Amino acid sequence: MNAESGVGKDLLSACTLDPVDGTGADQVAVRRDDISTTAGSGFGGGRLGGPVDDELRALLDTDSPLNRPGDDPLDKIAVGSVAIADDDSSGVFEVGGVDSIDRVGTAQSGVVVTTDSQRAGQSREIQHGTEGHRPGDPPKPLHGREATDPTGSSAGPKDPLLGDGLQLDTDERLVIPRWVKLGGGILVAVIAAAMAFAIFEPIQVLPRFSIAPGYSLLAQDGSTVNSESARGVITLYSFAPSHCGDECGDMNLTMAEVRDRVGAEIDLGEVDFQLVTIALDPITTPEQLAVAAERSGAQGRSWTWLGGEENEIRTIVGDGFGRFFETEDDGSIRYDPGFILVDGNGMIRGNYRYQTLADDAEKLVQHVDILAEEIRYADGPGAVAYEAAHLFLCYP
Amino acid sequence: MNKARRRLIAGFAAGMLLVVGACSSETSEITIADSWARATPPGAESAAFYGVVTNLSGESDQLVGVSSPQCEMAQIHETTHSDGVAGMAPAGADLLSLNDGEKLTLEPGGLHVMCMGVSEPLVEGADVQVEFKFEKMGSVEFVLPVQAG
Amino acid sequence: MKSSGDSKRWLPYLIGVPVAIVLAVVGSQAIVSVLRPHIYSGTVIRGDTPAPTMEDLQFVSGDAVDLGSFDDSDAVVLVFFGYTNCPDICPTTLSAVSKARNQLSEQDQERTQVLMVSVDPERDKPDRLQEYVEFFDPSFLSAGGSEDQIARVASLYGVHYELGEGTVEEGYLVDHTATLLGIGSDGVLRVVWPPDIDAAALADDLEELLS
Repeated sequence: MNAESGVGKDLLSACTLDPVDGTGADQVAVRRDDISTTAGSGFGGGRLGGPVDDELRALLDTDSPLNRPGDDPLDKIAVGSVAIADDDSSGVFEVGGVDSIDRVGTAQSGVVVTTDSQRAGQSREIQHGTEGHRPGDPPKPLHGREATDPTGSSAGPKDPLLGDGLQLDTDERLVIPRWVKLGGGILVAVIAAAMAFAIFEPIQVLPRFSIAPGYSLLAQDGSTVNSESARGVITLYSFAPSHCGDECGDMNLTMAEVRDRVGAEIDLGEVDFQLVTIALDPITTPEQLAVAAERSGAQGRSWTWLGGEENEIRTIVGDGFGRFFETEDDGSIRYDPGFILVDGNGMIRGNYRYQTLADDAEKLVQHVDILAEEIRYADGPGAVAYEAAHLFLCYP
Repeated sequence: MNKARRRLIAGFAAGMLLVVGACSSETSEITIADSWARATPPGAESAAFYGVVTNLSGESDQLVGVSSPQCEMAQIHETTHSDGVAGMAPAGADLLSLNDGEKLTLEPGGLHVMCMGVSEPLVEGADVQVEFKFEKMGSVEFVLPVQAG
Repeated sequence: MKSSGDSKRWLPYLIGVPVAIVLAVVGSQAIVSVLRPHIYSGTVIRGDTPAPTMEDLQFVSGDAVDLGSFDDSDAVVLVFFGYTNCPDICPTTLSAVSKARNQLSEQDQERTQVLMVSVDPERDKPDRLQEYVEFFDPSFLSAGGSEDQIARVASLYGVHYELGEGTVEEGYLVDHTATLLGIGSDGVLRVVWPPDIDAAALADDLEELLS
C-alpha cells in the first residue's frame, strides 16, 4: 500500500476526484472532528456523516503517516465520497463504510480534509492525493441541491447520485442586494443632473475678470463723479475722444441702442443701469463734455460723459481699464474702440472689442440681462449655485 | 486743563440739575449699555466711542450734541458704506431722535461718537468721560472704558 | 436565503427603499460638500491678471514695495488703504484683520502679510504710519509715497479717496473706499472684502486662500 500519488505535493491542492470505479465519486478521508454524526444512517448529515467502521480501523496501521504518536488516528480520519461543486466552493461528503476498504490505504496515506465551516454551501478546501486524480485535472462538476435541513430531509428531489440529505447550491451567482441597485441608481441620477447642469447651463454668469479702477472725474454738468457712486449700479463704459465726430457714429448708436433696449426689455428689478463714456483727451471744462454728450446722443439720460487730466486718464483708462489709446503730436488720438461692463461691486465683467457688426448691442443687452439676473439671485441660497457656476461652467 | 476741568465740573453740576429737574419720574433716565472707547493707536488724533443709548425718559427726545473733556471736538458720525465706503458724515438729525424706549446703537462701522483732537492717547484700562446732550433731558454723562477692540 | 412564498417578497423593499433613500441623501450631501466651492465673504475674481504693481511706493525702510517678493515666500498679501486719523473704519478693519490672522495656524500666519497704504501722505509720514499699523500687530507693514503715486496705485486697486475740508491743524477726515484686497500667493488680486468684515469669516477665507 504505497502512496504513489505524490501525496506530499498534492496535499494542498483542491480538486474534484475522478470516479475510480464508476460508482460515483472517489473516496477521500476527512478529519473525524468535522463529521457530524447522524443517528443510524451512516450517511450524510450536514456534510459529513457516518461512524468509522471497525474494519476500517483495522486497516490503519502504525506506519501511516497519519498515525502520530499519541494520536488516535481513528479520531482523525474517516472515509467517504465527496462531490465537489464546479466552482470548488462547496462539496458534499458522503461517508461510506467498508466498501471502500481497498481504497483506504491510498486514501489513508495522505488525505486530510479541512473544513472551516459547519454549514453546507460554504467553501472548503479538500486536499487529497488519491490515485486516479492527477493534479491539474479540471474539476469534475457534480451538481446537487443544497439542503437546509441538517438531518437530511429536504423538500427537493433526490439526486440519484448523492441520495437524500446533502445538497448543494451550485447556482450561486453574485447577488447584488436591491438596495445597492437603488442607491446606485440615485447616484447615477445625481451625476446625470450635474452633467446636465454643466451642459445646459441653466445658470449663466459673466466672469469676474479684474477690479475696475477707482476714479474721480469731472462730469458734463460740472459735478465730480467718483467710482463710489457707481456702487450698486451696473455700468457700461465706453472710451472716446470728446471731439469724436462721425467716426464714432456706430459706437454711439450702439450705446444708445443698449440704453434704450435695457430700459425696455430687461427687468432690472432694483438694480440700476447706467452708461458712462470717458473722454480720452484731457478735459478741463465741463462744457467740453457737454458738447460731446450732445453730439453722441448721450444728453444725460442715464449716459454720462466724464473727463479729467491727461495722467489721470492714462491711469484710469490705460492701466485700470486696460484700453489702448495713444495721443499723437497733433492732438488726435488713436484708440482701440470697445466697451467694458462693470457690475455694482466694482468688478469688470465684460471687455468687448468693438466690431462693426450690428449685433454688438444684442450681445451687450444679453450680458446686462445675465448680470442683472445674477445680482438678483446671487444672495442667499442662490449664492452657492452661482459660485459653483463661476467655478465650473464655461462662460457665454 | 483748567478750562477743561471747569467745563467738566459745570457739566456735571448742570447735568445733575437737569437730570433731577427735568426728569421728574423716578425711573426716567437715559441709559447706555455695552459702551466702550477704542484705544487709540500711536499718533492717531481721533478716536471713536461706542455703546447703546436707550431713551427711558418717558418721552421722545433728540440728541443734539456730544462732547468729552478728552476731545477737542466730538460729533456723532455715521460711517456710510455699502460694500465699499463712501466715508463719514455727521449723522442726520432724524437718526438722532429717539422715541420713548428707542435705542441708538453706536457701533464700529456704523454710527459712532467721533472724537477729534484727543488730548492724550487713550490707553486700554483708562476711562473716558462722554456727555450726551439731549434736547429735553439735557446733559447725560457716562464713563466709558477704553478697550483695544 | 430564498424565500419560498410570496408573503415575504415585499420585505426587501421595506428595508431596501428607506435605506436607499438615506444613502442617496447622504451620498448627494457628501458630493455637494466635496464639490461645493468655498463661499468667500468677499467677491472672488476669477481672472488671472497680476495684481497692480506698487513699486512706486516705499516701505518705512525706504525700500520699494515689491509684491513679487511676497510671491517668492508664497505669502498672501492683504492690502488696505486708510489713514491714521481715521476714527472708526480703519481701526475696526485692521483690528478684525489682526484677529482673523491670529486664528490661523503658525505656518499660515507667517504666510499672511498685511500691508496698509496711507491715503493721507501729508500727515502720515512713514515712521508714524508704521507705528500705527504695528499697534494692531507687529507683523503689519505700511507703505506710502507721493500724492501722485498713491493716487495712481489706489485707482488701480479700485480705491477712490477724497480729502475732507480742513487744514492739518484743524484736522480733516478722508473719505476712502475701505475694501480689503487679498492678493493670492500667485500674485493675482483674488478676493475683495467689504469693510466691516467678521474676523472668523475672514480667517476661513484666508485658510482657503492659503491652501
